[in-house]
Amino acid sequence: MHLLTLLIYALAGTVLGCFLFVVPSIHFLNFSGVIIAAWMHYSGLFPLGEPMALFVFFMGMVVSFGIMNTVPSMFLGAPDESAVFVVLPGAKYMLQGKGYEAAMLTGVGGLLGIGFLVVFTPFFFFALPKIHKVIGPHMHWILGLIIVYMLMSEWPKGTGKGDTWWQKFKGAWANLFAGIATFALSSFLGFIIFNKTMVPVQMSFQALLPVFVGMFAVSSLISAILSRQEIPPQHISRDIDIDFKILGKGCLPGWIGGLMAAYLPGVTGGIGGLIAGHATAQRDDRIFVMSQGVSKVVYYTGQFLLYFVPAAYFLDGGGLRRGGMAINLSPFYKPQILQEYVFMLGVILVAGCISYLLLSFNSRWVIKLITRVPYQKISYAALVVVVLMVFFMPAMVMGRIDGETLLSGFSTIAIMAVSTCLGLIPIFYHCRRSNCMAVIIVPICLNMAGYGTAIAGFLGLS
Amino acid sequence: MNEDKYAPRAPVSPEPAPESELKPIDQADTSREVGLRDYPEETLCPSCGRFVGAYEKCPYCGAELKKRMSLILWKRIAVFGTLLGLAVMWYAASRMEPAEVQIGEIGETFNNAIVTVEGVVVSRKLYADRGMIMLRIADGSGTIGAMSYKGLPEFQKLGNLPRVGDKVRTVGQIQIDAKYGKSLGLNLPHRLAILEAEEAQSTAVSQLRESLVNRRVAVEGAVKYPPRYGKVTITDGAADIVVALDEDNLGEGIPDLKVGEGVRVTGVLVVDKNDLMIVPGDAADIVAVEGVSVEIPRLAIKGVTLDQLNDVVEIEGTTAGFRAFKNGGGALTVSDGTGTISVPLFAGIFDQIKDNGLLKSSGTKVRIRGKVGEYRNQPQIQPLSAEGITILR
Repeated sequence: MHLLTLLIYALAGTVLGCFLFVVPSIHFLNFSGVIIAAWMHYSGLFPLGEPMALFVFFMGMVVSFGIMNTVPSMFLGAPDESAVFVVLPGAKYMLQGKGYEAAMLTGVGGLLGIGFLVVFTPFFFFALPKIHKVIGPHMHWILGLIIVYMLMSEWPKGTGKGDTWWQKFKGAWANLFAGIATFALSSFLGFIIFNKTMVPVQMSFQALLPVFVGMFAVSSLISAILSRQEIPPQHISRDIDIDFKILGKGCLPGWIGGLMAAYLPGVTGGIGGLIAGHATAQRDDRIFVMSQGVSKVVYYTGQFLLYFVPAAYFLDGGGLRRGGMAINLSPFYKPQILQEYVFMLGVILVAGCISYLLLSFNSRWVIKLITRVPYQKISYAALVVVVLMVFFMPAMVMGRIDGETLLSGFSTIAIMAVSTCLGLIPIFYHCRRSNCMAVIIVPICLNMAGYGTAIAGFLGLS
Repeated sequence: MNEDKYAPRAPVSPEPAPESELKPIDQADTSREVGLRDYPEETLCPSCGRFVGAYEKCPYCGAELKKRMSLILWKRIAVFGTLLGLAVMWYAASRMEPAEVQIGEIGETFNNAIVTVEGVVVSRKLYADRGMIMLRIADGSGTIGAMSYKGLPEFQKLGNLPRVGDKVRTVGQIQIDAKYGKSLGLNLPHRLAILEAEEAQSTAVSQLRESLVNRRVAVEGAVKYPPRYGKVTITDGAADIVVALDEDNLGEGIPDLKVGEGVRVTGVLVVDKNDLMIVPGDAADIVAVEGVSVEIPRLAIKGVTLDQLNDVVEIEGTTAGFRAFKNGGGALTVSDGTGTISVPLFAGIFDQIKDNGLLKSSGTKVRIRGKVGEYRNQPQIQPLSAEGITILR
């Protein structure tokens, strides 16, 4: 009965996630805030005395998001921070009428990512604490190197043509400058958010909600609304244009990138996948799309899975918290025994398989939908949903609607608006959107290096 | 449902493909292939007609493109909105004070909030070697652990290292963990202000009540049990109270307290494992006083009963037997003619008794001072230190 209850919650999280995350710009971290807020006021949502029910539910949701967010990214133009890299080659596929195939290619990648986690991570409880002991003290400069890599690996996208040297220089360097500016401004925003709680203190566990919704969700939706791109008819293929060689080549960078992102704080699957892709020097679009599918799933799922390595295995007894989901749920339960880790691996496997099966189903009906309803209209509807979600989040957390919560809603919307503007810069100036991730990676890196407080003081934020 | 729309494309013809009219270089630009797809006018270069998407300068011919007004507008909104928005946020953030919260209202959704807390420091641990400071702050609605892993030197440099009993107001970041509960990160030593130390309320030990918890009190009494495991028990004859003598809080210089000695202790009254306890602010809060003493009753062995459980009593008699324990020490039997009583002497105490070998032979005259305990429904005298055993010969 006990096991059955957990299984039902895992399936509920998976199936709900599979259909929810087809909606553009709905992210599991944002939705987890809604669920937790609801649970705070209606404790019957999850069985009392069975904290694992909450965790298996969200694990199902995380796995389904990792696989299913390909659909809005591919067909509805709304990538999250980890999917932005998939979109460029993915858009190419879609314009060729092969969006379904690209979605399934990403899904195959996701499934291989799940397989990797299940086969290669059962002994994490043994290896990870030892690895962490060695790497942990060096985390700040490792993150620093990643920052340097992110900035230096962007290349000029302009033509460099012009009548004067200034026009040539501007043409060549405009997007690089935009990238560096996005990075710097995001870092600045990060320092403000990390050093001052700009949202009501009751919803501080979701303090980054308006920032991420603005940077990635709303900006993508605005971009989709402004876009006049017409989606050509999509072909539902019966097979996928890959062979075992491509499969292998796509998996390797995805696994490396996903694991790197899962372990390193502030690094997302997109950044990890990019670095790993460069490191393994793969050029084929199919490899790229698939490796991003692997990377996303290993990143999201692996990050949450790390929380289940029992804290007792770590020398300091503190365990490891990586990613928003682990941080959001850490006040409620701390995994105690190894069986919980193994059980979670089982949940991941079940949720992954169900999500993959539903990916095909969802891709088909979304393809049908966009032939009937322009995706700009879908984007308008999604925009309304996410704005309402952000606006009413203080009210949901506090469990009431009154002047105070509505005023708080406006303040969260204001933060979201600023973040949206920041998120639009890379879209309009053709630089990497991953530069926006500086909003968390830079404050984390500098805090770990011990300079965070001094810089916050210099900025007048302490 | 239009099935044809989703039908597979026409099979590849076995005939060779007709030769394209386009030059090889232009075949790469798929927008030039007639009939493959139609792009909106505004996405084509007005100079060469190729698809350029959102580029402002054609990547093929370098021509400046006629830009749509809406895109330019959005670009400006993005840049100016970001700059203006960040400036406003920065201005607001640099002037806003973190919200003041009651400790008792802090729930799971407060995780990571930066808040202001005001309360009394009810315990303190300093780890000079690691630079770590751990406080416990109480504000009447609850208590919270507040810590800084490396901030101790900074607190000492700023001179705002609070003592137990000080009322403080501090900014910190709430961390909530299922294992460790809620805590406050003290990453900003300069944001901790010591407001004032509440005047200690003088009271009798027997008058200490839960209503005084988290408040400063001063009591006088005699040391009932000697210091053990960082705690000492004092009594006013009517009631006892435990006083915390933690070196991590008080540092060195904790006075050497002897049983029966009179002391005045000033500190904060806290609840520790369901019992009241006084935590002094520093070693100077424990001072020896004259004229405070509690008579320890000398009883005949017959008079020692279980009604006196936990009372400190004194007996005098001669040794009548000794049963050695496996791990050292042994159970001494003492007789005074009115009866016999067992006195357990564990190795830690037995080894410190001078000439302890005499206790093993019968007929040695001894004086025993200790707590009345119970063993198999019989009273026994449990010495609290080696000083409680006096060999009179």
